[in-house]
Amino acid sequence: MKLGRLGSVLLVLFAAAPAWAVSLEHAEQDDQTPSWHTVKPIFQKHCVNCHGGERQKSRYRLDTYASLLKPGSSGIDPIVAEEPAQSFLLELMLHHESNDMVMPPEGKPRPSAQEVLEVAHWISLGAEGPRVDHAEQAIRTEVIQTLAGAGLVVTRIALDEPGYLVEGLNLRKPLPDHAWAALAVLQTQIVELNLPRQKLDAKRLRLLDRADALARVNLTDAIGMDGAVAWLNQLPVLQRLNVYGSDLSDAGIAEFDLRALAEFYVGETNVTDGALQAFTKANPKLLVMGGVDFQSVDRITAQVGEPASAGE
Amino acid sequence: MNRRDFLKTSSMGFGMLALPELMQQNAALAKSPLAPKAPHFAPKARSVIFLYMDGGVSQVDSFDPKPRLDKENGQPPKFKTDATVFNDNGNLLKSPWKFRRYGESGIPVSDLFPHLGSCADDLCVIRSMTAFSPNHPNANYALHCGHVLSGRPSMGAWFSYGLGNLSQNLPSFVVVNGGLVPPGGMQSFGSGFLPANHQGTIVGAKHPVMNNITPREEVDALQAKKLAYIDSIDRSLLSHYSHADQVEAAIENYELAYRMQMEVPEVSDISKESELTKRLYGMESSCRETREYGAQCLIARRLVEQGVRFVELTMPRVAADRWDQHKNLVEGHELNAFTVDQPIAGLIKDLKSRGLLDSTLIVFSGEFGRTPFAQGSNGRDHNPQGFSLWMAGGGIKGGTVYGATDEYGYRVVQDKMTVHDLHANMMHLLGIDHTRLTYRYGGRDVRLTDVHGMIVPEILA
Repeated sequence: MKLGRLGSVLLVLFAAAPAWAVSLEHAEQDDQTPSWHTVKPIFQKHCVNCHGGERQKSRYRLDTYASLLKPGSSGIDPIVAEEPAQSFLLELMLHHESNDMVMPPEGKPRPSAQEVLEVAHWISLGAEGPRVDHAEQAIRTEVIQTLAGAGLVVTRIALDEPGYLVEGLNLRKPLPDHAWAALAVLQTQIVELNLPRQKLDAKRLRLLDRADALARVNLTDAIGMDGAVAWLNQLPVLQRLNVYGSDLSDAGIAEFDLRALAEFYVGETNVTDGALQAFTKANPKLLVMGGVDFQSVDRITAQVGEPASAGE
Repeated sequence: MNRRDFLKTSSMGFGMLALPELMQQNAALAKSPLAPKAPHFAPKARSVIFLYMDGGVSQVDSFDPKPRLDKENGQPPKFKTDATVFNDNGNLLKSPWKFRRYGESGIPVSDLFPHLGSCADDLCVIRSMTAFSPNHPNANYALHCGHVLSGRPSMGAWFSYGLGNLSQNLPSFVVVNGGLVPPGGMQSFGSGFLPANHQGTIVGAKHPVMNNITPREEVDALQAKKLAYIDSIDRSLLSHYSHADQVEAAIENYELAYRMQMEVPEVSDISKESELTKRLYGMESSCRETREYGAQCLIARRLVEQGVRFVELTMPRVAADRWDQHKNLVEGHELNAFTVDQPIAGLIKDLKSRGLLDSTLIVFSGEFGRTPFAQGSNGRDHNPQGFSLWMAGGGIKGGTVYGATDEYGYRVVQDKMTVHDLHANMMHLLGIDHTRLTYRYGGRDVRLTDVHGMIVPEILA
């Protein structure tokens, strides 16, 4: 899309330079990091008359944060978080005055260059809504950068839902201490945590004692699983737990006491059939998934004849 | 700091970036086109495995039983038939295979797929699929890219564009090629007008799965030096343009290729799997084709475990013309079914036990179906008017049958669906609103589903 001169400058500023780098520069000056509170007055001043409670031109309004995110009659997303160059809202503001599509329309007072930059900067930081305060936002950006540096992928569950997915599938080494510390900072907002192939350390897990939103945990192929049961038990909303391939033993599974758990994957562990059956019986509402029933597959294979025209 | 500054300050240039830890850090720093993106709403699935049944599976011989065909076998069809490709229509041909009901849901599956039958409660069979063309290439373009003409991005490319990549060392869209190129060519896996980073990366199932994946240089530092030199030239080019995206994307491509050298041999090394697992996937079958497809399925599972967003499997070469049995229906369909039946069932069961099935959407589909009346004496012609596909995992409602064809299995009479609906629902399960994932091209905000596509709540869990 054509962005013009100013747009190209913004493209370089906010596309070539990573978002977190910009925010870190401003972390020391909290009051200058643009947030919803910075951009809301800009929208009030220049936009809300035609796009607010009284009038909704093009069926779009931006008098509240929720409505700002919803497309108008164009159907185009006004904001792409962290991508000012892809955000239709900003594109409209950057058109030349003579362009039919420019917003505010020709003849209305134009926002200043500083105001446009604030909006672009706010988008590049993730276009967060009113519930976030600057300090928390800056810390969170820094925390995510630390986790990324340690090899974790941290991403929002969805654009319209709070909470993070922390994905450790790219990890090739154990998580270092400073990464665990960063996880602890973010823990109240983690909804899904995937840490395959980890050597679990009960001491480090105890750092995550306020993971009140953690609903899904994946600890496949973990070592030291028995020692993690106590930590798992205190997760208030844990709904789905996957310990496939870990060294969970009969002693460990007997210690489980998870109120909210609905799905439990426990195949290829050290849990014996007897202990698993006892556990399943004691938890009738829980979906327990063990390993594959290889024998039933062999039975089907034995019954099926090979086609006459099979190659060799 | 961005990559430019990092390279300037480090004395070893690209060599520094070669260290795995720093590669990961660097990947995090960059705003790559493959960086993971949050979907529009909370997803059920995060990956897709598309099992492409090249040539068109006959619906009345697989998932859509028609007792009427048994009754009127050998009689000329009394209903109006559209023109067929070969115009060599014979009489109604009953299915040579019996149907059995499986699982708690009682879904009927033909004897071509006994292993899949044992997964019936996980399957959602859609019997009301239709195609936009009776020709292979055009129907393929429609199935893969949403339009009968070539040149549009593949669905895998759209998913990559919309969601980015969870894996840092693998492409986001991988095709595990069994050996058969789909009619219409590899364009079905292309990125079209989307950035080239989103195109399908084609790998095989036999070691080495990719050409040139092993560096020729025996010393890693030598390759790193070469790549550092190329990198420095590319970056000087960057400074000449204001539209840096394509050059940045090309640089990103080199860096991903470098990381793939480590990861691709590792992820495709299925020798490490247990004997039980390999047997589950049919890799001890006496039939070579089954063993090959088993390897493909096992690689697909490993790719999804490593975060690849969209994996597609093509058919291996069998001693019949793909599923396209214009003649010799019995021999051809039997061989094709024997090739895929156990491996696919093994994949479903393996994913399920590993806790990956509900986050992996599996789709089994050809480009059209086959006529219930014969072609010649013992074949079936193309049938875009109605055919079956099934989906499993990824938030799909298992043990379900949706839609219906007429009594002969010829034309859809209830709950008709097209590829647009298929794509819309696939995207929905991965958290994407198909109407909101667009790309500005030719002055339009284009989407995979064009201006079509309906969400079908009956097939969603």
